Amino acid sequence: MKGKTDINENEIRVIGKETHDGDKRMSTHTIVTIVLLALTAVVLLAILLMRNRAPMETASDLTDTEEGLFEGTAYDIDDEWYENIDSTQGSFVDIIDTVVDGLSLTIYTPYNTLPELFVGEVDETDPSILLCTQAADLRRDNGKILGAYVYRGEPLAWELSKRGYCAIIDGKTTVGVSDNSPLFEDAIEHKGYFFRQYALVDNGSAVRNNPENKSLRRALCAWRDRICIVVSHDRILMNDFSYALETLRVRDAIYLVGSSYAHGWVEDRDGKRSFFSEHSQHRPKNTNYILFKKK
Amino acid sequence: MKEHLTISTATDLLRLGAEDIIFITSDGNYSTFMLAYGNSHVVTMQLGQIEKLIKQQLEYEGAKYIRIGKSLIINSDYIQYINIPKQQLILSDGKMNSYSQTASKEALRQLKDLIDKTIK
Repeated sequence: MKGKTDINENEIRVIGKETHDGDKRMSTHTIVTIVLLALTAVVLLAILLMRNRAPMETASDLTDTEEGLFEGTAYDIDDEWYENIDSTQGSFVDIIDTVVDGLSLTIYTPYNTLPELFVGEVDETDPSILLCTQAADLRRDNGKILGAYVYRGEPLAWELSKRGYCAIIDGKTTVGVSDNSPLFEDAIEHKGYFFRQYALVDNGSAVRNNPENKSLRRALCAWRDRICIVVSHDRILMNDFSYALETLRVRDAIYLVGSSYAHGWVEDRDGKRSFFSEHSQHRPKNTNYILFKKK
Repeated sequence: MKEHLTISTATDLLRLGAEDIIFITSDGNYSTFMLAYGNSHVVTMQLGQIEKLIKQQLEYEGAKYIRIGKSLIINSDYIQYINIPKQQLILSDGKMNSYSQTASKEALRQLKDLIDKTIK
């Protein structure tokens, strides 16, 4: 039941007393509350009566778990491919190209790497960086990092602007969707990292978002027991990207700064570096990255 | 007399002029007060607790404060611009600082209606 102090994103309320006849308004509120409580009681009573009359439908009565011929089935990356990766052979990034829901994607899965965030001009000559891509967005008005951000235990930004989050604490990366994550404080306590971005997939279900433009898309995903980065080859809608990740059976995914200007690169197993985008002449000072470094 | 909002914890005390607070944003247990003249303060407190303090400490001055959704409280005196389709709310101290905030279209529609009513 919604508490007196609860509020959702579509509501506003004036906090202080608006006029001197506040007591009168209080009594109106009380009447409304009593009416609502009475209605709730009637509805509950009706539900209880209905339950006693109608026999419960059991799980065995339901047949809608069978898949229809033309119903879409979840896409599956070849299990054999996934299981055959030898994750004991040092630090590397496994790269696989695939097509999901008609969209061309590349999945970058780092193994035996150290994840961390970085703010500022990233050293492109650093041989320890195997995978690097921009992480949190910046505010248009003042160039500061958009959404809560913790860098090596130091909070640089606090506001909740997006529901998706990534926390890196003691070398462990967690991707999730929540308005209020205790991992923000844990990141401060443990000298870790935290940032926020659009939620794309929440517990296996695609999340719809507002941006309606087409762009090159990137996502940080919790997929099977791994963290990976998925990149679109083409300019696509954010919501189409989310549904493709859902089809890919990603558990949770958040957006990473995309577009053809977003900086980043990957080093393949032969040591060859490929940049995700054209080089930008100017990058704001708060441009920030998620890095996966060699151990 | 100038009204103040006082936030007192076991170790510190923060006293802010009610009319100096432009807006308050939160991320979980942390809330940031953005003040006129560009300075800000962070407190370890949820927005709901701050809303309660405003209600308790700022009687009629508190009516200027509006909670918008889960993570924003604004001082309506500083509203400069509302654009519902762009989900944009700009707060300005009228001097050198302006701040762009986003809110849902429905919340901004209600806010605009509220401000419209005060004109008539």
